[in-house]
Amino acid sequence: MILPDLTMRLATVAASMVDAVQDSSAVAYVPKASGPPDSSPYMWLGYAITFAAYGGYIVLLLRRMARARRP
Amino acid sequence: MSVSSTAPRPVALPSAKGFDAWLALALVACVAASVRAIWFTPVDAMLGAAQKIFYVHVPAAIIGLYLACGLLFVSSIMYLWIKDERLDRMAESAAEVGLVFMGIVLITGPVWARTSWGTWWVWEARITSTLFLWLLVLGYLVLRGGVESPENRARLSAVMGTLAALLVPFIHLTVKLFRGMHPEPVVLAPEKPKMPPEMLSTFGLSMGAFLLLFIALLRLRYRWAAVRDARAALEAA
Amino acid sequence: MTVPHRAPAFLADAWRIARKDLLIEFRTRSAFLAAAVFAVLAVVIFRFTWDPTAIPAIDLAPGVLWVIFTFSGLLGLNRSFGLELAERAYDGLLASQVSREAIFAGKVLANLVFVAAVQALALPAVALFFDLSVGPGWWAVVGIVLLASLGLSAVGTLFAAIAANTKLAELLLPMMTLPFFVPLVIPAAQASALVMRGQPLDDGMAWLKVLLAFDLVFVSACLAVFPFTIEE
Repeated sequence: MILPDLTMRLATVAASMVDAVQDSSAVAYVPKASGPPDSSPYMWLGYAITFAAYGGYIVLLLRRMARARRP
Repeated sequence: MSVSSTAPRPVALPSAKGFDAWLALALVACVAASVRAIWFTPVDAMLGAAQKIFYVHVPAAIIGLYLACGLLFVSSIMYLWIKDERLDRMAESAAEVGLVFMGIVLITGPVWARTSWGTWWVWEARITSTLFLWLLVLGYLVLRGGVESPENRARLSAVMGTLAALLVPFIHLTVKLFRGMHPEPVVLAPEKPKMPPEMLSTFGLSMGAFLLLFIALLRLRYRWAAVRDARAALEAA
Repeated sequence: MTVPHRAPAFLADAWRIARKDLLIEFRTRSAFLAAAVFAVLAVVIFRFTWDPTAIPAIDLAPGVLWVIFTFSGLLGLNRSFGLELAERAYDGLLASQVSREAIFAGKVLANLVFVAAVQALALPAVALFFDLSVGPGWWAVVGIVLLASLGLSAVGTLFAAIAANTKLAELLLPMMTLPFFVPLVIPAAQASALVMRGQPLDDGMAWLKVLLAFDLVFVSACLAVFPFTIEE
């Protein structure tokens, strides 16, 4: 958490220093901190949907069975 | 007084067990596999954490599309041949459980696609085939709901199941003639798999766990169908 | 020594049944009129909601044609077994000497004529309203429509026989048949769009082969399973 932040700040400072000297050949973007994108909300969404669906179906089946058992 | 051979023999009422050992074991296995996938498996460098949906998406696809549908088709064809009601019960159970598994494929697919391809839905070959198969099985279950007599229901849905089996290769062929964007099969490639061993073993465990879940759900669904039919027969008598 | 054997009056019976269905339909004309009205409405609606500057006519027209094909086909199929069921005449038909396969063939033939008749109306209407240039290649479009109609009739008649046994048959028929129409309509639409655009038929050979294979497989399969739709 801290490291990417720090890297971003250093990179921003570095870029602005480059900017001050020569803006025509400055890079068009600030290099991001290395590492894969943070797509974990999607991962949680996927797992939540999966377990909700299976769980819901299990509950449905158990309720049907309970109803069928009733004399 | 002689007993007629065509009179139905009284059968013992089938067991009406709900939550059984298979289901308990399957749930534990699925939770364990998912925990391993989320916390103890390396993150994909390009796609990030969302790639881990792969560990639930692909097992659901393999089980729903091949195992469940395969069972449905074979049971339907065999029913037309042998006319055993147990085959019909297996067909309806495989259909319903398969619908759930395929539904999960259709929902987790877009969630994963959003991160890796930037769009929620894409009309590419495999997911389109899955959609059509899902609609086909849904139609099968709706047909079953619309026929009252159990014998008619079994017979008519077996006809649909048989035709559905013939339809599948045509759907694949038609859909494939459009260009596809789906990631190439990474696990079952003929050369060595392109996944690192830790991911491969997590996938293997996931596959086993969800297979157990499928078997447990199929058993429960079949058991319920047996109890339901037995009660209906009793009430009709 | 081979003993000469023929299916007892298969073709004659099938034709007789087809004629009966078509005559009844011709007298009342209700389903045909409904399908024709639907076809014209569809063409008009698509025509007037279309922005010609954004989409060229040739890109929209095939879609309209095949939408009309599918839904007017369903309109015709709905009444396919409804006729007999209303008067319990189905039992009478089954009790007669006519073979199950002949009944099926006859009904498929009647539905085929129905669908082809609607398309005979729809195809010129589409060409007219969308200002399409009709060339000699359009005979291929007619051929594709006929091939697709055969597949639709075979599968649709079988599912109509199934649906006749259910409550809510009109809802069930489209639900059951639409996945089956996919490998029929997509290849047909792709191939016909190609031809309408002026490309040679050879470019669409793959699609045509799928269509042909579908017809072969499903006409035989539906004929084979039709007896199972009848209660013993």
